Amino acid sequence: MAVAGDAFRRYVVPELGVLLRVARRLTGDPTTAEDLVQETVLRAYRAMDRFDGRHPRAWLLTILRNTWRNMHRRVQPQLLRSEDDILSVAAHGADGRSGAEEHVVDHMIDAELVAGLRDLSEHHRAVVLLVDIDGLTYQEAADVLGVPPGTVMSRLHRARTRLRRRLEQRGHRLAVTT
Amino acid sequence: MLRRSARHRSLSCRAVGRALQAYLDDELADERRPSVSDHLDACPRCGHDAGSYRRLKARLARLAPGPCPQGALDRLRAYADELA
Repeated sequence: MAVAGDAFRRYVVPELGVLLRVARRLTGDPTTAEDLVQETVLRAYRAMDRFDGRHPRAWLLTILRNTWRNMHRRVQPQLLRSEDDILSVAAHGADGRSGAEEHVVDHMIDAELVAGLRDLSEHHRAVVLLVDIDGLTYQEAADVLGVPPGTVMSRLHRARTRLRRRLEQRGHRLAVTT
Repeated sequence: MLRRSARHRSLSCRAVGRALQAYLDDELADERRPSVSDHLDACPRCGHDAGSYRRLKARLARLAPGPCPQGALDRLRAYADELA
């Protein structure tokens, strides 16, 4: 049906990148992420006639979330391989090359952040991953997690305070090097 | 007209503390931003807090895994095109 196809192209296609990014975060695996988005897209297509045209991203993220839950999975954003790898690089030294000291220290701060993320509770880690690392808004993170945006904000506040305190206690200063 | 040092007390540090994360994330309502911003300019402690959180956010953002593989995106677009 031409009208449904137009709506689909207009609302769904522009959101594929965001959906894939979030799916990667939920599944932790690129292949599963792609499958999840494909299934989400199919469900969105079938539900197109019930979509009122408002807030397409929220609508799609909700479908993504429910699709993932239907696959008998818990909705729990997780650290990715690339992020965990930061810890092992820090432990073994980057490529075995000795870098300038500020780069080594810089990398240690990244490793400390990843370790700090691991030590957070699931709920606190989830919002930092989605908002601070993946760049979602409070509302988008709320749609993914199925909680109110105010909950996202209060969890973020708690999580960031913990991470900040952790870094300060270990004597790291947070200055960003270019 | 309040003097600058008195003006920052028009919003308490506690109130600013509650609004700070939303302010830094651009999630605070527009009309609330100026009073928070004024306070941060005038209050050393809250200003320092804001700076620390800003730097923390910047470091976390650098951990981002990078763009999704183009292949996956292309396949999904092709799939969507076939449906539409």
